[in-house]
Amino acid sequence: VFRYASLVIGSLGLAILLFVARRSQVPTVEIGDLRGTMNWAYVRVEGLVTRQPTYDAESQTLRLWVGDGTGEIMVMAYRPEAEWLLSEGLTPVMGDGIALEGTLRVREDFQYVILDVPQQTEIQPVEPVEMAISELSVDLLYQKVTVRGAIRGDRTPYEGLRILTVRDATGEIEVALAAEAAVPGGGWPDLELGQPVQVVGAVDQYRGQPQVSVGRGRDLVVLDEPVAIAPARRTGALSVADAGGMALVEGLIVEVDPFSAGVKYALDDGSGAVTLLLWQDLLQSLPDREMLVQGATVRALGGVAEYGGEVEVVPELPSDVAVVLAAERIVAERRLGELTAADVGQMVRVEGVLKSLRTFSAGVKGTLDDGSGTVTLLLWEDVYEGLSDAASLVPGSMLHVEGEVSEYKGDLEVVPLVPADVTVTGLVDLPRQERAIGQVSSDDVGQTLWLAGRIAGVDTFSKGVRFLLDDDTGTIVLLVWQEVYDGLEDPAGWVEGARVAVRGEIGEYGGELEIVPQVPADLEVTAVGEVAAVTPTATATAGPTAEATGTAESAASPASAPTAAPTQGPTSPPTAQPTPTVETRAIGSITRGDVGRTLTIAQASIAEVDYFSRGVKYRVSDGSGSILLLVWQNVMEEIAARYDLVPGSQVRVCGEIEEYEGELEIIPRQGAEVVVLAPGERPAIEQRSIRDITPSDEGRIFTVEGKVTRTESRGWLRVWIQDGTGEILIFVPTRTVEYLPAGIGPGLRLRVTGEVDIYQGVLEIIPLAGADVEVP
Amino acid sequence: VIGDYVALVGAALGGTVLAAFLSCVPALHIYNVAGLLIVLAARFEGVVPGEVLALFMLGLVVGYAVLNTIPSIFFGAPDDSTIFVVMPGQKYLMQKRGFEASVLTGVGALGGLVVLLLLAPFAPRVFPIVRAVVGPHLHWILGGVSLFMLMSEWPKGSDRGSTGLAKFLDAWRSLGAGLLTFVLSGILGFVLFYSNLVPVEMAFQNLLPAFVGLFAIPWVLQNMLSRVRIPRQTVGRSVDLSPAMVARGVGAGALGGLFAAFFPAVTGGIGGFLAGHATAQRDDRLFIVSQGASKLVYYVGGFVLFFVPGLHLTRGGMASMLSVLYTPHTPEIYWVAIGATLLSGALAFVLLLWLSRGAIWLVSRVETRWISAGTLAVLVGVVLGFTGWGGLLVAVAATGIGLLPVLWGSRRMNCMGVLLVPLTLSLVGLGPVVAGWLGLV
Repeated sequence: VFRYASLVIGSLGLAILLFVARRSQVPTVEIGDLRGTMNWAYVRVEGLVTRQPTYDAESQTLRLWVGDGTGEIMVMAYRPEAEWLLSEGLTPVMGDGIALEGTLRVREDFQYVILDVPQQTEIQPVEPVEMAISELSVDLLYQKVTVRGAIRGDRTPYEGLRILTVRDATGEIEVALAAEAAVPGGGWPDLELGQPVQVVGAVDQYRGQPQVSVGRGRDLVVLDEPVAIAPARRTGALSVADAGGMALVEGLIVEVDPFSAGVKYALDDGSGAVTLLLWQDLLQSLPDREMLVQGATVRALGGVAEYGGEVEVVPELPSDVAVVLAAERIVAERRLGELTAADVGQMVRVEGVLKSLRTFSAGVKGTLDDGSGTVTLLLWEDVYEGLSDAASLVPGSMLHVEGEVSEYKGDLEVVPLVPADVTVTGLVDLPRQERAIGQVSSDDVGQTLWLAGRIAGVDTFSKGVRFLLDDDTGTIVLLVWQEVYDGLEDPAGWVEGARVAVRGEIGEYGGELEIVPQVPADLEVTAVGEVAAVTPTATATAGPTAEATGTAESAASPASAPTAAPTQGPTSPPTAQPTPTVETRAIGSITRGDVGRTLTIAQASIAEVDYFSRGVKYRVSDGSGSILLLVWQNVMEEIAARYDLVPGSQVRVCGEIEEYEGELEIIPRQGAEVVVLAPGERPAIEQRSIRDITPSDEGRIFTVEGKVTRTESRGWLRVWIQDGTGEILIFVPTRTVEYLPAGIGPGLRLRVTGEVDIYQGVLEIIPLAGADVEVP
Repeated sequence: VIGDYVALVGAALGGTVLAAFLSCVPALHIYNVAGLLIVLAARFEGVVPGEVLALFMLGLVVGYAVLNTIPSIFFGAPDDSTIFVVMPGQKYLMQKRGFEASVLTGVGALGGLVVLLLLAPFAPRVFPIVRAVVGPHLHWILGGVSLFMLMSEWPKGSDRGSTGLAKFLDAWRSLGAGLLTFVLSGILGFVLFYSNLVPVEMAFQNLLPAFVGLFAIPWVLQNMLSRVRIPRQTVGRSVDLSPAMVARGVGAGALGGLFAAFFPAVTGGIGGFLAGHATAQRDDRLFIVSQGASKLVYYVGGFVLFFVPGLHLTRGGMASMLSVLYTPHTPEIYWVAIGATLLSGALAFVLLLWLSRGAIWLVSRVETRWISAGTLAVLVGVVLGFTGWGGLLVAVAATGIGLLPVLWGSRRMNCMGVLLVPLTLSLVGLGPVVAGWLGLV
């Protein structure tokens, strides 16, 4: 009897339970009322989605956050439930209303709901309200809004978060885009800076500032029509009172004024001129920068700033600058001998042979000779660097040049405005004024001579390398400035024992004679030490001779024959081909047996960066293996492209192989031994007012300029600088301190380039090298 | 600092002493008492520091794991994890050797403590890895456990039926009862997982009425109906147990206990059952020792996993209840827990010897059915008090299911379908589907 009774009780009891359970309502709870003893309750939660959902593809877990006014709780949907929500397109986004049922889990310090039945989830999308950006505030938290504007910035502070800066005519706001993998309805459209977009998202906040957070792919739309983000203004109407705002101006370029960090254009629409300031990095990224010449009509959008009492419009993006109408250039054909002071300000077209070339702080200068006379050819840095083949611009180059005539210290100059104004048409051999070193005297100071000899000593200093040149008749210092040295094709060949030929200007420093080459082409290795020992005479006088493919006349009298058609490139090679002393190796073939040897890695990619107390370690790999590239700080100081040493950059490295704690390292001895072949992605270096640097700029590289207000040192150095708009901390790590300019203290004006960082909640800029801290 | 340690160890020893006496109450599970403590601690939050509460509960678990063998042997087994002790244990009881059976489980428990001590240094490194490896495979492992439980049943007919059909039905009676128990338990599990039959405020005890109904009440009822007279027991001065037998028993038990401690929904009974098959135990002494070890490793090991740095795994009812009020954060508290476990275990073994004598004295003077009747009243009171009339309804239905294996001669372990079925199906994504079939969602 009991047996069958148990059957009846069990089955009937269960049936009754089912009956009751099917009719019972899942209780709706308020998040603020949840308590520990409710652990494992099956509950219903209703509220708003307060953050964008995140989806972990590895664990296939979807996380939501729901708030109901009394509190906020995380909702977890594990594999099958998450897949169901995603496949059904039912993933809610921030700002959506939601009702869901799940099992409540309560821990001591955390509560969450496990979504058991995704089918019971109800999403109640909220209709967005169209708003101007300036109307957005944190008071609208979680409110769905629609804004339209142009993309002014696009960055990824860390993997999983992308932030756009969107501006409309009323202001600017950051738009946070959820991780692509968790974006319902497909990923984000292809976005470019300057594009007009419409954004539908929920108002969020970051450090008290409103943001718009977008969760659905379809909520970010690229618009066909442009969105006005600044009022059109007359150039003459802009005043200091407009500083801090933005303006759209259009006018004629009436003056071009290049300077070391960019170009200033005077833009005039007939109402008066305003300065259009294009920083170098922006200028170089403009596709039609060559058309930015006097007479061109330009439309520019930018921030209005004031500098030295002058109003400037400073565009930020390449799309902010457009050449509306190209300049009609009136260019006069001239023989150099015909140029007079009356031509100053005129555009002229001249031809000639470049007799000399030297660098200076803002570009290169040379002497152009067409037989009728000479004139200084001045190429500003942006023009020189924009040349399609700057390396072909060497003494002996035959040039077609269009440029503006100017006068400097009584000498006439021809100044090309854009790289296309300079055309190399050929190359002639200039006669070498060779001299034995022993015959060089102080009477030769200022002369350009050719010297040949053997490197008897190498001494690296902060701004270049000094070689001691010896030809058995005497010795002389060969001073190679860093920028020239960096341009050498094979700096690794410039070692003791190598035989070299050098063209340079004779100078005197501290009573000692020195020869100073001006461009990399002035230096050539004729034979390396070992080879020179075997064939010493073959290379000592090697160089272009009468066998050159250019004509003898052209070599002897280049000015008289500019129209000759010499072949491109240097002519007869040295009779002995030097063998490289530095072996080029794949990383995978470098072994412990190579420790102590100097090797070259032709091309490797930077994978990791690790700062340590005396320098920076990079892990570089080339497909065959990886090795540590150890850059001591003194070497880092010499690397001009140090900010391009980022993951993804391709580099060529020459250095000594060492082993440390079982790991092989390659250690360059000079900055020139680290060459960036292809830079990886990094933010552009931008000049900023301190006021404009915000936490959202973390990781970007800025140049700031201001006066030191105070310093603090404990091995490292902390310097606070003030530029009138605000104050910021410059943190100089210990490894960098010894390379700083002397005398840093309150009142000194500094120009600092470095990466924006946040440490213990404080914004700071960290320069990579002492050379990044300059006293302007 | 030393004072803090003394307080913590004192709390653990106090918990052990309390558990020792409560464990002697037939069918009363220590989790029922712990639930009451949690309710009080939540109401007066902050009065008792979290660490002290955690160590006190650890002491409760250790005491219960060692001493709940007393009611299992002398008053009947209230818990599925003692199911395998019952048969050899009751055999010993009827042979006047109940005290010896009690000591044998105590020896197994001491062995289990040694295993936990040996594992302690490695747990923070090994278990997080094991969890990461096993995590994605839980569904088929639990499915495999269920399948093995069902497939390893065998027809128990006497083969004396007059017809083939009669023989078939006779053979399949217990087998069918086992399957039915598993299915009905599974449906009960779905009802519990997808509805709120107990008050939301007491949801942390939502399995209490089901477990009381499935395991405790049927045994209490069985004891009440039983007319077996317990013979006068003898208390020997030694046990017949070689070191090799201890090692084998502890090894097998620890294996099962660890499996049960680590995997959700797998109890000590199931773990012991799997380990028994894996190690092919035959000898009764070996069996009882292994069950002592298995119980301790399951209950205590499962709870200690909550303290393991980098793991903090919530396994078993005690960790689940404690987690709502306290989460251990430092390696220090882990090692304090390990030390306290050893001290509590040693104390519990001594108490086991004393209280076994007390149980012998009690059963010789008081009718088991009266003890059981009192227990039934306590159980009903606990269910009603914690979970209200809804919980009592669950307990009644569960009792009907729990009586099936008792009265039809199948394994009570099949009642664990209440957790295994909904959990396994949920892990493969079929939980909502089945709940939909049952009309629950």
